[in-house]
Amino acid sequence: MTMIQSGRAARRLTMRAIRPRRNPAAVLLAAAWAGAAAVLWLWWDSTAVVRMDTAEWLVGAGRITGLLGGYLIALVVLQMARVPALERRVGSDRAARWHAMSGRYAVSLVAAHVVLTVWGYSVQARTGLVEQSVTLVADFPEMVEATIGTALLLLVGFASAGAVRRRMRYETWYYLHLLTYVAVYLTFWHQLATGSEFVASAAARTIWYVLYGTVGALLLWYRILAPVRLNLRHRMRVESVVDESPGVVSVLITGRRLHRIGAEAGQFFRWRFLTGGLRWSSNPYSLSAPPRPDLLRITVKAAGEHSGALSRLEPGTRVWAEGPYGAMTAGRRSRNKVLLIAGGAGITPLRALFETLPAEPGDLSLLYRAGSTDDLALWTELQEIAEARRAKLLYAVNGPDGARPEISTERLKEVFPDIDEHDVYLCGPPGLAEESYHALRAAGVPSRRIHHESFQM
Amino acid sequence: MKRKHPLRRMMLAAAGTASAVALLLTLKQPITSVAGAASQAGGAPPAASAPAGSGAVPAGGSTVLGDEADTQFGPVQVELTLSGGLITGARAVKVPSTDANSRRIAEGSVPTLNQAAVAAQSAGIDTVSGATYTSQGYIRSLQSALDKAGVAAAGGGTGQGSAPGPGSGAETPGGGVPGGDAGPGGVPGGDAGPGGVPGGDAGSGGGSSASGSGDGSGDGSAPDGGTGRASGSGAAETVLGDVAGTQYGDVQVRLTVSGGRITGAEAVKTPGSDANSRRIAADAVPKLNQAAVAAQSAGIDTVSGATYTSQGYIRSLQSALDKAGL
Repeated sequence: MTMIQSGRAARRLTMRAIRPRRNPAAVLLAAAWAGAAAVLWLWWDSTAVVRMDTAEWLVGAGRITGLLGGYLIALVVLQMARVPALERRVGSDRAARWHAMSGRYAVSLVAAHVVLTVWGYSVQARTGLVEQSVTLVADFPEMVEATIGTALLLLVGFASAGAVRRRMRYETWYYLHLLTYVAVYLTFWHQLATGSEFVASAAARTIWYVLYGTVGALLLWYRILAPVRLNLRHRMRVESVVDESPGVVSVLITGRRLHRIGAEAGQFFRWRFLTGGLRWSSNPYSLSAPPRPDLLRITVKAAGEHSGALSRLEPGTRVWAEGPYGAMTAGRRSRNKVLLIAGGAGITPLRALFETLPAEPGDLSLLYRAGSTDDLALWTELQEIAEARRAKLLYAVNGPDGARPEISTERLKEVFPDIDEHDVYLCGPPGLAEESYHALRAAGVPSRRIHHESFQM
Repeated sequence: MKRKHPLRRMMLAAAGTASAVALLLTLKQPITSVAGAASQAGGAPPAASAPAGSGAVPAGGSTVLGDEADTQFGPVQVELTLSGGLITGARAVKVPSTDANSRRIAEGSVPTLNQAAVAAQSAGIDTVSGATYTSQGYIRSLQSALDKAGVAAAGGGTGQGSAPGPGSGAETPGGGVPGGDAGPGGVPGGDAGPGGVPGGDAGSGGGSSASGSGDGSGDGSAPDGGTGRASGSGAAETVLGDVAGTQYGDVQVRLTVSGGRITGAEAVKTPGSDANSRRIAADAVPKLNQAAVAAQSAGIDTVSGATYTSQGYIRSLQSALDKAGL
């Protein structure tokens, strides 16, 4: 046993059989599509006929896009409600990508809805577009609110577009994003007041209230109440900050009964350090050691403004944490043999998994890619773990001339002849992750056994 | 980690959505309803189906369809049920319904307009506030229906020649409010419908409403003249029902009775203690008024969502009917 593992927990972990958990993504996607079909049925059921004329087609299309947009926006909010099924089973990264994708689609649907409806009404009433827009906003119930809400939604959508997003500070973007909630609230009411599907049918209104009510309740619980409960219970504080390698620090965090949080190796929390400017942003950092009853550890590379400031944290600083999130845990695994591929700061979750993944001697390997041997953070610990568990530990660094060692299919097959019998956990910068993914696929590792989390959209 | 093609995905999403929307709209084409629309637009529907359709039409009534009147939000078309030169029912067969809002406005205003048309016996009715376009279209279509019916009724009048009562009755619809007073002259004609079965037969046999009503009143005129004058001296009278208390306030119904028939019903008192019950009453009372005239009795259904108001209304209606001896 190593010095970090406590005896009982370690035994339990090693004894635990490999139980691959099914990823619920397929089921959730099917449910989302079924919901969309049901929403279209609402339109179908409440529409008698659409005559063959421009105005009716435009208004009809406006209504369908509006309904779908209203439905999708509920899902977009749900995807960011930090629901455990999404965060811990599907994976935070995938949920975030779903969110980004459906968010863009929802904004497009809303834009189409606005254009088609105004256009359709103005053809119908034989008025100008501008005049008709004014009438729509001024005379129809709840439309002033809906207009403001839609403007906010489009603003958020615009700010999230790649080119604009890159020019914006993360915090600015984040707080701008919170306006989405205001926008959703403002636009909700016009759907019920003017949508013919809802005016005509109390059942449809009930369905809509249940949809938005459920999303609102989940949001309130998982984004506000659950974190408040977690932090009131566990009261975390910074214990100390340790330098690991140039530009890489570990932050040790104490608290009460931390094992009761139920965090697993490979997962992360969103951390907010209640001091100075750090108080206003919350950043995801993986646990770099298995959680202990009294201690959590994160290891952070000083890449940005926020992570740079962590090296100056005073012991005793209050910490506000939300989590645990992330699906890159032991539950993902389905084979006896495991290869972990880490790149740079991506070592953190893999360091925790390296210690805790149940494996027979020789079945577990870690490949660590870094710029130079100096950049191999946590290397001493890794060596100790490798020795104790009789696991394989390899590193790849740039040559003295700056030559990059390639992670190629041939090299992988050479080092791991039975590579296609492995589960592979992958964590690192996007370039390395992509390169490794393709090399692994070419070496015969099926996609479902490459476990990867990436926050690149 | 799979290769992403954002542009291709976007194009796929846009194309997929557009085709799905177009497909849905195409599937909603009015293929099956063409026959129905044609029969609606074709003028006088078969006499047998008219009573079934509107439910409120006495057996001997005939229907006249007004012209379509265009409004900013869509066409309005009024269908009148006439009985012996008197409007006994009015309904809109077409209302602005292309968008949710105009449909909602139409739903709110058309029952009121229908009732006003029956009550006024003319096109001189007020527009319903908040539904100006619909009201104006309604009035135009109503006027055109009255014009058509006026011709028909006048023809019938000349045809029979002998009965001045129905003759004057036939002219009154044009006369606006006095029509209510002059009504009794015409009402017996309405009575003649159920009484003198030939009227009903003529209507169904005639196919065209004009000839149907002409024949009907021609046949039944002699006895009608008698009854017309007999009750005509009593003219139209109003009967006030008892006040019926409900949980939210009092309801009191006033009936206009003429020739032993209810020609109008209105609530002079409705629950108005709070905004919500006022809103409910405003919604339900026109329907109840209409139902009372249609049923010619207190055996009408409660309006859903307005149970208390409806129950009070029915109690007061019953008491009015008792007083009127109906």
